[in-house]
Amino acid sequence: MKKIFLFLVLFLLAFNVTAQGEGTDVKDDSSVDDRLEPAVIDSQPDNALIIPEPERKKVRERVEDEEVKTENRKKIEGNRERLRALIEEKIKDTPAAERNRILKITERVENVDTFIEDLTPEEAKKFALLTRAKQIEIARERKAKKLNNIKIMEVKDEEFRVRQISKENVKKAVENLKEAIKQSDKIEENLKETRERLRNAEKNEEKLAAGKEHFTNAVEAQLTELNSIKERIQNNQDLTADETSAAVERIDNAISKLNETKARIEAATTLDELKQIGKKIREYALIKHIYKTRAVQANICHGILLRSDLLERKAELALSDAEKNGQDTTELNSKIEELSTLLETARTKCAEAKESFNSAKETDDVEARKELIKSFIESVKTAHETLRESNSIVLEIRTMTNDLNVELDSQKVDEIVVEEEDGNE
Amino acid sequence: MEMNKQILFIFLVAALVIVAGCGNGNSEGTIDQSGNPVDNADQALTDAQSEVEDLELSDVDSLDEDLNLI
Repeated sequence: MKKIFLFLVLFLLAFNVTAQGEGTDVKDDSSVDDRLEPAVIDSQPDNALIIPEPERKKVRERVEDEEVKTENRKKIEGNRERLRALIEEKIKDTPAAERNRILKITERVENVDTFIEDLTPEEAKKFALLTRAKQIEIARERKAKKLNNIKIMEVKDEEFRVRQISKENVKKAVENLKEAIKQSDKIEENLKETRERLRNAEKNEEKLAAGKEHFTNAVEAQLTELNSIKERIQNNQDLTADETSAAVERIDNAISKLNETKARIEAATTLDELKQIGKKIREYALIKHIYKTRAVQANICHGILLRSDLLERKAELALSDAEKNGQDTTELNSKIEELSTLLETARTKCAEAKESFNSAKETDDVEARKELIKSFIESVKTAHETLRESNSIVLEIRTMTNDLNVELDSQKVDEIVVEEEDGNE
Repeated sequence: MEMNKQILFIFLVAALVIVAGCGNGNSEGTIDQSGNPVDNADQALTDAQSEVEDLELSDVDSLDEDLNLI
């Protein structure tokens, strides 16, 4: 019996040692970095005596070439080690997996070490938390000043709400706007009929009567949508309370003016008067488009974009885990770079959209406003399209991390950086 | 002898628990894909799709035409 007991103890001990051995196969960071360097060809002919002169010349050239490559590699290694020491010194409180992301950009930018050397610890921390594409851009242009516009934000909830709105209210507001657009489309159908009557009217009295009916319908269509856009703005978690109030004030003003316009249409006695009133309807229709686009833009360029940035950072941490496990991460690394570039494009489009929005709401020139809204809409559409593209890359990244058996969604990111003027006025 | 049997039984149960624990540890790489950040981002982009498609100035263009009729 004692023998069986002893045998079991020995068996369990042996099992435990084997299990621990499997779980601790982690290589240090320097070996991870080695894998990032280009492979060096080291096959050299070893019997030069029987090689004819032209061949010997080629061999000499190859050897010299290899020496240059080795020299360059040593230089890069040296810079990388210096960079590693610098970032450790400047941002020692930032987790190693986060700060070591800076090492990656040495593959794209020269002398990153001298750039980091000139940064203050605060700037270095901001730089470390940037997306890869942004790090490359700033380090390549050596524009440390750009870091002044960037602020560090704590990740409290992963939706980056600027206001707490219940999911039900957000959903309801979106659905109500869709419904209002449908109703507005029905009114537009009626407009086709009154437009036809207006076109065919020969006498001024007929034209005035058809025109009054037509423009009253047009006002109704605008009012239906404006009321729902107001609700959509009020229940938008990506707009600050201040901006919401300002937008609601402008929408209320447009609603009130449109109601007055309805009364003026009714009272109009000449075609010229009616035409002037028609121009006003057009003006308020533009206000509707400014805020309709703004509601979508806030969701895309604040919430969705920041969540995508967060996913890029999570992917970088997953990459770091895979590297520590000694896995081949070439493909994952290149996908993250692709994602980062797309997110940077989306960010640029969002900045353009924001510029158009600000100009459109401030300009008094109706024609200029129309053009600005067109470019506002265009930028928002492109930002959305780019984010959709980047999302399909995220899905590919998730497949890759699953294959590498490392976590993606549950990676913990505590801080994220945003541009100071991001999203909200 | 009876005492030894009891110890052996407890030992076997403990061994089974340890082995089962190791088994669970090996499945840590499995990722729960319900309601996670990747899917949420995907959903948000899909939700925005119809609203983005609806952004156009056709009604303003129609009003331009209407003003010419008067």
